[in-house]
Amino acid sequence: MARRGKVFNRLGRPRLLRKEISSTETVVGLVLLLTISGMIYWLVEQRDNYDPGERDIDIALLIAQSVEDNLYKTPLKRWRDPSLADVGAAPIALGPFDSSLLEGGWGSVSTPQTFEADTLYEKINGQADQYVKFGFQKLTVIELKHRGTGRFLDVFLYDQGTFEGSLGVYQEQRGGRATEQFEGVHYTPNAIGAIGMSGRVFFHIIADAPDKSVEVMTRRVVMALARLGQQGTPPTGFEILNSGLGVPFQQIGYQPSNVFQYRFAQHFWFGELEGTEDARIFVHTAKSPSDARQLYDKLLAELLEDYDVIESAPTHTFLQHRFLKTYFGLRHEGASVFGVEKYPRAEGVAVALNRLQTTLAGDGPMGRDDLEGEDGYHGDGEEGNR
Amino acid sequence: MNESEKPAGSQGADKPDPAVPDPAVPDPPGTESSEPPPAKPIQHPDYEKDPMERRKFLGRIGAAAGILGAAGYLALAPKDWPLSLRDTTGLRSKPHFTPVSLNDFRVPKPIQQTADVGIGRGGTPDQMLRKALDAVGGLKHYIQPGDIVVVKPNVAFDRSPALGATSQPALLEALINMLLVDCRAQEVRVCDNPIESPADCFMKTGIRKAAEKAGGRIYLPDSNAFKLLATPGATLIQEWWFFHRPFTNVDKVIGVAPVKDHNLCYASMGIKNWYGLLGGRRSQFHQDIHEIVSDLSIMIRPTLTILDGTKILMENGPTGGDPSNVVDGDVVMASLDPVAQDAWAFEHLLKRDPDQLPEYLHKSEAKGSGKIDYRGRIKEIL
Amino acid sequence: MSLPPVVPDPGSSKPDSPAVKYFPPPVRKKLRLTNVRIASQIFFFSAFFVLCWLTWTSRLEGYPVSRILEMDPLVMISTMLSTGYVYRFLGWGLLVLGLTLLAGRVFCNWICPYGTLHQFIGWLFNVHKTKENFDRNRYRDMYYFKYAVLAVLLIMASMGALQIGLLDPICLMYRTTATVVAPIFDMTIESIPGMDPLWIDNLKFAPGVSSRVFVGSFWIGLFMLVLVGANVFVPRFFCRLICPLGALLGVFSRFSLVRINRDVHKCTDCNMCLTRCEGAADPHAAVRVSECFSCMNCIDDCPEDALSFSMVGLDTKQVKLLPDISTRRMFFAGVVGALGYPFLKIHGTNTDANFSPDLIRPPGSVEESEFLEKCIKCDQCINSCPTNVLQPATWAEGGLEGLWTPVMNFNIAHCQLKCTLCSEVCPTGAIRKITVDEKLGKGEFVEQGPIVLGTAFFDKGRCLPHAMDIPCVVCEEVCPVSPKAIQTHDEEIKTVFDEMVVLNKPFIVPDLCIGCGICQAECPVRDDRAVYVTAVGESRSTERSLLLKNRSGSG
Repeated sequence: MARRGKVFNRLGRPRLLRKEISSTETVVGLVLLLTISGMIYWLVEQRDNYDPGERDIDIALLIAQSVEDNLYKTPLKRWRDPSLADVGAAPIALGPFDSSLLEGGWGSVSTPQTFEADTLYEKINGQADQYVKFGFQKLTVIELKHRGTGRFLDVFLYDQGTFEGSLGVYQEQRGGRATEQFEGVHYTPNAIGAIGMSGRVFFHIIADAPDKSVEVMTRRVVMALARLGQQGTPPTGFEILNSGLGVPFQQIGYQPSNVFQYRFAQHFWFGELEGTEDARIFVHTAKSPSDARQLYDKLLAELLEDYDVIESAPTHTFLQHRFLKTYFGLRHEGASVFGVEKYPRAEGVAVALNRLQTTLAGDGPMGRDDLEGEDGYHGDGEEGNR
Repeated sequence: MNESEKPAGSQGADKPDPAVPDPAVPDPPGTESSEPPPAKPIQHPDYEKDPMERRKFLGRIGAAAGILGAAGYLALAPKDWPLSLRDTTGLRSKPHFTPVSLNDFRVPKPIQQTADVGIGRGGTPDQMLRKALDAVGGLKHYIQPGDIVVVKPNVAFDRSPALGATSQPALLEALINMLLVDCRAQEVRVCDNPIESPADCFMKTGIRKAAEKAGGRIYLPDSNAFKLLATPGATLIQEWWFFHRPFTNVDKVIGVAPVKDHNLCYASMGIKNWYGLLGGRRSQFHQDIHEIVSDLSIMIRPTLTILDGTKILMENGPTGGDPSNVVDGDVVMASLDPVAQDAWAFEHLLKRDPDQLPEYLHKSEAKGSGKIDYRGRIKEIL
Repeated sequence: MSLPPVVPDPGSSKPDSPAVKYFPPPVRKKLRLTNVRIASQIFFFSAFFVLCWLTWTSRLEGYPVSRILEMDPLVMISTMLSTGYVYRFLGWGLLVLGLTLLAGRVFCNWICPYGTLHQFIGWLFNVHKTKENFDRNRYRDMYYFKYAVLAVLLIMASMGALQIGLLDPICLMYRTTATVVAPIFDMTIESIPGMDPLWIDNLKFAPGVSSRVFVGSFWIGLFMLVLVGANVFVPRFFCRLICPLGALLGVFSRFSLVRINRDVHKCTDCNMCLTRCEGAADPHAAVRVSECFSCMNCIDDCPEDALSFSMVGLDTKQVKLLPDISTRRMFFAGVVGALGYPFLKIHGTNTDANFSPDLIRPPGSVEESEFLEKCIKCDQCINSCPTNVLQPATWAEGGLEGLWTPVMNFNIAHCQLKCTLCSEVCPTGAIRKITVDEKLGKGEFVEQGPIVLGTAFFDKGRCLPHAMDIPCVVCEEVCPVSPKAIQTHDEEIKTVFDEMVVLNKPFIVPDLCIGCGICQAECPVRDDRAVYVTAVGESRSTERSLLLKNRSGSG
């Protein structure tokens, strides 16, 4: 048997036993060795035996057969609440608008979605409160898409129930930016849409990117809103301040509740007085003169906690704050309660109240300039006023 | 089976004690013997007990105690004692990689010079490169004779150079020539870790040929070429696998990047080029692309970053593939501030809105890699 | 090794011959046939590995890296039987065939690298005494088996099931080198500490690829190991008992002009010629020509100079020309071969109706049934693949018939866009030689379009942007075609944390997808990829296509 324990053989060539090696064998051996050398040479020579063009692509060919790749450029798809899936393709889905809105390449994306006060949070989650507190009733969302540019544009129509409601929302969201007006529709445009109000409707137009088509469409929506004729007649309080006293739109505010931090005081209109730090005139129209009287008394009673009486009359009282030293004028006339607050100078208060009184009595419109001009108290002149 | 139970017949297995040789003793059973084995007593008559000497006994006890003690120490000593092998939690045996760190390869610019970004326009790639480098003080200022220089081109795809997805071989060749001939660098290493087959990419992009022609050495990645690199201050790659082999003992680092569109981070230029040195599961970084690119800007502080604006991939990046995506430019940039350089290229080479700079540039600026505002720090040589 | 002086100097028998002047005895000794044979073996063995090493994208150039396969006459004959044609360089098989017709099975011991390997291993571990070797090297009845193997394989091939690659020595050698030897070698080279990186890249079979792996290569390695290890028990076990190529050459060697001849008058029946007889060809008795490897060892070992490798005719009675296989055995082999084909086909794991989605063939592959008629499982394509995407098929992908044929595994890597090397090195045309133009459908191939390997699909339940609202789109970035076959819808999304993010959600444009698999290879969802390529839609087959060509709306 094989020798155990050994791994390899002796690693040598065994003894050559043959005795004769013929010349033929030697010659054959030589020839074979030469053949092998020849093969080595041949192999090395094969290095360049190929066509590099087959292993790469000619750039000239690529240029000649260039492919345009503007395919499938889809625009940004906006987020949409999955629980409010599209209802289906309604023929024209524009809510209150008519199809003339869709000129210029715009189309509607889906049936308008509507939300009531108790479902509003589904659409705008955390922001629902700021609409609800102003008497929100219904939201209609209209989604539009431009076929050419691929822009999306959403129109949110918040029915706030009253002019006051929509104005309140508008003033809050506007945050002091300037307004424009078109046939009773007030709005504040921005790069990708606008916010604004038309009567009891507060609206919000927002697109996915700034664009010429967006700008045009925003304007068209505003015009369409104007055409709808929902502007309605503004309430008396607003009219008094706006057309009566000439307070510009953007300086008129409405507070539905908690006026002067008193729970009983509700539905007041305010007009800012320029040239003063935060003096405001205010108007409240009660249901009846007795209601007004009641409110007047209540307010006065509460105000006396902080104010000293300077001048007192049955229908009006002038007060001065104990610490701030600002003046407060309060008056009631018929069903109205009105006055001036935080006025810096005592003399102007009476004048202001008189103006209001005159306006309420229907003595015709009176510019606010008149009011202030007649005061004559503003030493700083124009600059102080504006 | 213990000793006492051993039957008599098995005694043959017991070896006779070699210490007491006795020629009179017959062959021990088991060796070949023609006679039948005689009836054996339980104990061999000539068996002589060999008393163990005390010294020997103590020696053995001592040896046993020594071995046990040493083994016991190794196995049971608290782990902070020297040589202790104890692993109470099983976590000590976890493979531990010590991260390496890279030097800061930056070189201060010449005192009299103000420009951080040099732009060379017009002529051959070689001429443009020289102009760009001259604008920032000349390559000789930055490279000392005898330096080992790593040049990192972008070889990410196996595209023809004309498709603009990779660095231009002509520019690379010019750069290596300048490094080896003008600056007398000791060695120029060219490396990248492409997404596609490295050998193929280096070949089809022409980078291999250009580098070898100019005398550079190509370093291809393999599984042992990566080391864990520590990048202090980085968000995503505080410790990450890095193509470290070419960076062994290196003195200077130069990036040579093309200017490309990028599907996710909008533009791939000088900073994004360093992505090609990452190893590991780098495709995860797409989940936070701007963060990683800004991390790259502090991972490596190159001596110079060269931007190759001779073929600009305007869209369909970063792969490209169609000549229609490529625009010819006549710009080569060299910069000490990669952020400013990328910002300029984004605006002037990719022709994008400077207000929509990729976020990673802002992040890089915040991490201190440079300043986006390139105004006043540019020098252009026509 | 110098010879002991007691032996008379060979070549000194005719001192007056003029040739002696040119060939003095030491030269004769050096140039004797066994030495030349060893030189030839070293050459071909090295050439084999050098060619394997050259089979790499950065080295290939024009080298005929598959030439040893193309010289294999069994490959030529069996593919000719299965397809009816002779592909590209397979005519080179005639060279070996011609050599065999003239000089017998010279191939086996002069050229075949696998034979060299066996001989070397057998020699290295041969610790037997001379007398034991006599018995080990005598012809045994079981050596008929290789002819049965050949018969079975050729009959199957002629019916259209090509399985010679399993046992053909050259295929075995290439396959094992590609999937076992090369990666082990590379792994070793990479991990030598302090190695100059330049040497790493120059020595490695596959520079630039990190840790190549080959699925199921364990079995390929084990197969090789068992066959080579068997040499310790039976010398040249594979060559004598199994090798179908050897069997084929054995049949053809019947006509050889030269062969081992024994001068019975000189012979003393000392049996020394059996000491190192490689082929177990019984040189001590009637020489079995079909078994003789022409190793020439017996000539060296004959103390009487009774043996010579010379022209036929000296003694025709003292030889056995034909293989020793009985009609009965041939019949059974025929039955096995004839049944082999239907057995493979009805196994049904690789039909047009039932095939593995992972059966993705390399670009240029011909239609599957034709592919199986051509592929010899040499895995030279796998060797050439620069990305490691090509893998030897396991039963799961290739079915019984397709075992160890090349498939693409996109979990491991991708098919490089502008690479056609596998098609260039394929010796049989299973992967037809294509150009990059053809692969990408450019130039004159515009009408035909690019070669499609499969189609990518999304698993939207695992895709980060689709399922988890996390940005990713690595797939879009790496998609190499232009325009990209993976594009994105940009979409605004509210995450679970109520944050609005803009995601690029990828989608496939199936008409553009060429199935290169880079999306799958790079997908960060590492285990069960969120984007994956399956074989359907491959352009080589109409039966396995997906999209209707020229349908309306396909652009």
